[in-house]
Amino acid sequence: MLMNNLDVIVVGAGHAGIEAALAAVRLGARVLLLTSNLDHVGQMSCNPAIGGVGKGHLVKEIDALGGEMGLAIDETGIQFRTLNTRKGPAVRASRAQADKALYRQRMKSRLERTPGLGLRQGMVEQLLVAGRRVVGVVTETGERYEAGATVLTTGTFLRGLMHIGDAQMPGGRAGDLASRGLSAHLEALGLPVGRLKTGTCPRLDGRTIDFSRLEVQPGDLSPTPFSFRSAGLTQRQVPCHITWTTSQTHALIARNLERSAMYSGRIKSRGPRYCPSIEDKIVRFPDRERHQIFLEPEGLETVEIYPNGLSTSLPVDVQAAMVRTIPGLEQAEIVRPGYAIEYDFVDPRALHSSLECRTLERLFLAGQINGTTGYEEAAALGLMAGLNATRAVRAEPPVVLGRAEAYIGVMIDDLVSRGVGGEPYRMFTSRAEHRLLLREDNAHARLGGLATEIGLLDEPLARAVEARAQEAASLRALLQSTLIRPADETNQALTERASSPIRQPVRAIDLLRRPEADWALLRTLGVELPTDVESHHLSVLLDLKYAGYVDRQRVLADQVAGLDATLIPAWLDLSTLPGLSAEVRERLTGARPSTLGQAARAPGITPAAVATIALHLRRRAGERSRGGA
Amino acid sequence: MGAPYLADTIAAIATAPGAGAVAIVRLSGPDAFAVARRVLRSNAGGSLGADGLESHRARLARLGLSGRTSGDGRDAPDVVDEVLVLPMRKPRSYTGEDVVEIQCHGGGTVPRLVLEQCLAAGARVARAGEFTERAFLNGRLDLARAEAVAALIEARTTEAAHAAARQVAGELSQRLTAWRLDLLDARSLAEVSLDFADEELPLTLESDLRDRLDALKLAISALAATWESGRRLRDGATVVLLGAPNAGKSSLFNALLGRPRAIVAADPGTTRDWIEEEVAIAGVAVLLRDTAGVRTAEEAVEQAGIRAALELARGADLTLLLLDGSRAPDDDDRRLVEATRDLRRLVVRTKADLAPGWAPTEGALPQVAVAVSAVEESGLAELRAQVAGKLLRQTDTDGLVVLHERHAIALARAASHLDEAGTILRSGHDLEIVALEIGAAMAALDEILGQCDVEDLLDRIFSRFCVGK
Ligand SMILES: Nc1nc2c(ncn2[C@@H]2O[C@H](COP(=O)(O)OP(=O)(O)OP(=O)(O)O)[C@@H](O)[C@H]2O)c(=O)[nH]1
Ligand SMILES: [Mg+2]
Repeated sequence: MLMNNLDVIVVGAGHAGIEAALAAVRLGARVLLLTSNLDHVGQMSCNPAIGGVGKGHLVKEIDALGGEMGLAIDETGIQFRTLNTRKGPAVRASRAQADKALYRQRMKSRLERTPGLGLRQGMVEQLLVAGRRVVGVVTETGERYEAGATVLTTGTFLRGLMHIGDAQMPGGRAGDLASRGLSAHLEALGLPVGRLKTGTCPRLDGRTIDFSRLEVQPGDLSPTPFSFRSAGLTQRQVPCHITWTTSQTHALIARNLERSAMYSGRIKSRGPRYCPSIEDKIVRFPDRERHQIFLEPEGLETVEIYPNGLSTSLPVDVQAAMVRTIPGLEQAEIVRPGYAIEYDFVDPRALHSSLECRTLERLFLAGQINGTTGYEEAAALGLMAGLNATRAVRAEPPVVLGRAEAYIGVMIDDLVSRGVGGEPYRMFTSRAEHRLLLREDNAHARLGGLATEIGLLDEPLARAVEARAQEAASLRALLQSTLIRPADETNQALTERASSPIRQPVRAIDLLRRPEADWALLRTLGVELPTDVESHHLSVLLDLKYAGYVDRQRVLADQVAGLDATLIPAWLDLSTLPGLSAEVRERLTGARPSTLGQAARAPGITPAAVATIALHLRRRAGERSRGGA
Repeated sequence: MGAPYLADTIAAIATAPGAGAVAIVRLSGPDAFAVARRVLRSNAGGSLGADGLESHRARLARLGLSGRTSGDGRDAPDVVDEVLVLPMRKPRSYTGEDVVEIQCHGGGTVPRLVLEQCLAAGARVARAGEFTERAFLNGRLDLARAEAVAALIEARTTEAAHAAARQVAGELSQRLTAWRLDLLDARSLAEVSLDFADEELPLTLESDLRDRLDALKLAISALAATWESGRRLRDGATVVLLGAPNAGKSSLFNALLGRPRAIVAADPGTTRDWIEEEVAIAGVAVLLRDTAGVRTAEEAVEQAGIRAALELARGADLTLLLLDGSRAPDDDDRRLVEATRDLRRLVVRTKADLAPGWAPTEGALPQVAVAVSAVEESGLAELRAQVAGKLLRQTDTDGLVVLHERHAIALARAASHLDEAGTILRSGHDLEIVALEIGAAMAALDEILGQCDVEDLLDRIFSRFCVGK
């Protein structure tokens, strides 16, 4: 592929960069993907798993938007589980352990086999800027590439600094160089650059672990794949194991606390509260007798084990001793130490909802550079950035997902209107106020139509998604029209399932609403259902069961949509608006809300402030219409 | 092309119209100090000077009430009032803007002339409730407090004013804010096990959650239940006197009023139509209604009056059913007892000074709550106490009562969401729905504090404020 006439340049081939590049290619863009290390494409820098609560939801949405992550984990996953099966339909979530090496290889070869996509090694040091517009990039070796739009997905590489005890090593992650010039360059271009901290666990040699004494955590017996497009799961499945820290572990850490990079004052930035280091856990929860550690295999062909829960920046000798205070790990050898890493990010409030920079046209940011954490968050942002970069090049309006439409919409809205508040942003289902609408099972129903319309799905896939929607519709019609009569066998079957007998004919759809009813019960009662209802039409069932709540959330979502539809026009200067306190003005100036809804959600914004803006808008609108007459 | 909102300076007479000795004219807005300087002069007669108005320090000044008045002291006007000026720089003022309060002599004329001078000097007259609206918009008051200001202004008795004043002081807001935090806490208990599926969480989490939800539900519904009392405190209550002809209704009416308003006569059927008067009973502004005696009468006019009386009783907050103590109850009395059985009522035995015509324990008649004599004015205090007891329910909310229907509805909704949350939790069903219900309860409280639907609320609320606050 010739490196001219490029539409989109994507910098970084991590989870964000991969989705950005592939989304752009799907729309027909000519794309160059630059990475500082071609051997680390799609690298999982931290734990070897994809999904989880909130994150699994993101993967399903990525899949519904034609993305790659779901397919890739289905092909390379070595343990699959559904979480929260008993806590409610919307928080049910998929999680899988990945074979890291397979995942990398699979992603790389997918990129290499994609026509219209050029994959090159190169460390970008500068952007090419013409006026307010970014027109390309320059690498440290002086290569220049020009394109209609540029997507930066540089992860933790910007001025990355790793800490182990009192040792400090520049790097993007263990084994990779940090990018030094780029963040200074971004700062010089006026982007608000800040600093975040995260960390990772040591890796253990599995041959030195006594698994026989540990609790086994198997995967699900008949796991469901992430992707709509997956035929099934192919890799051999392996279990994880569970162990716990001991009082010796805690005492050892307490004794050596001041040798931890986090506690010696060498790291200023705060670590994420939801992913604390083991030092943090012991300091903040001194009453806890033990902390759970999951031993996760890093792959089928490696002995490396990821002890999830042991993130640390203690010196290597303390890490080694600490590990050996844990049951099953008495003889364990560390093959790579854990470390903390500090890196630069760009305050995402500097971005539009399209992920384009407000002050630099055609520059899109995605992934950890936006202050997020997690492969799934990165991938979702990457996909949206690649999509909107391509649309910008074509002078098409950006695609912005609503908060009631997708977790991706919630995340981007949170990021651009609230910022990240000092710690990397991670997806939680509780961030979504319309959680019942945003389920894993209905991701395709929610986003499939849009994905088809904007060209993210190829012909056959679009047809398959459409066909699935048709099937669901006819299934609902069938349930609506099928009457179940109060025969003896019927009532006996109902009683056996602890469901009350019926006296009059009941529509199948109404019977299914009963909490204890499921597809199997309907079959027992003689309803002829398609064979794939269990695997393909969970959302029909869940929509029925939670209809009342789902309707309630729809109503709320519509109300919010009203606020979200009220644009705050550029001519309304929030920094000087009378009636707002200095503090509110400052926060609004930082948040730069473009709708009343965003203003209302910005942190520290009082309802009175929203009312004030609304009043101004209304009054000004009145004046304008009067003035124009 | 009007001036931008909140950029202009407003003025109004802040005290109640009438004969008070002192009145206050209040200015608020960016030009409040400038306007004050234009209308005020020092006692020596000259202009106030640049530092003549020091924030939060009262000073004496003169103010011309006619002719041209200007700060430069020329064209001395004929009539001059001596005024006390209290300047307050933003944000330390009621509205959060620059405010100047001018205390002048009261009465109908002087305050109006002072206001006119302020208007001539560049202020515009405030719309109803505009000071409070600005206080709200500037973040000085939350919605619940702003509404309490309205209730305070409308208060017709000291008790009503007291209840409103507590809310202006933020007591309701504080309690709601505390509940909101409790709900947030409760919600976090539910959310933590949803978002952190594989974590080891305390085993007591769900029972802890259940206890919190139950306690909150009780407290919130108790406050919601005070609305009945709160409404009566704020808006007053109607009390209807009902009884057979000649039972002594008009006499009791007059006795409660303390003046002979209704005609009293020995002939039955004296009162043909109902009449009403307002009287304060235990802090409630009571609209007391005297009605036509109810019996099976032939006269058509009276018939209509009787129907009307029963109709009134049904629409009232309380019915006093009067039974003539000097004679044995007859069929008319029994019919009335029957007809009012489902109403909130007090049975009153009248003419207690006369020899009893029936034993208090007489069967088929309801318990007599109190015996009164209009002639001797006995039993009236007891009757007032009983009326108050019926109108104002005892609360277990530390005396806090709800003064707005909007609040009562929102509180009741919050309580019912919490009830639902508790039920779902106990049935062992989806924690996610429990979280949803708690969220809905929080949203209901937020409505009172004004955190959502602000737009709709504003017009409704601020249109109810009087000028001057
Ligand atoms: N001794 C005595 N006489 C009373 C008392 N109250 C009322 N009366 C007399 O009872 C008669 C009727 O009193 P009213 O107050 O007019 O009775 P009413 O119920 O309004 O009668 P109508 O309007 O005709 O229905 C009058 O002669 C009163 O003087 C009382 O407390 N003691
Ligand atoms: Mg009378």
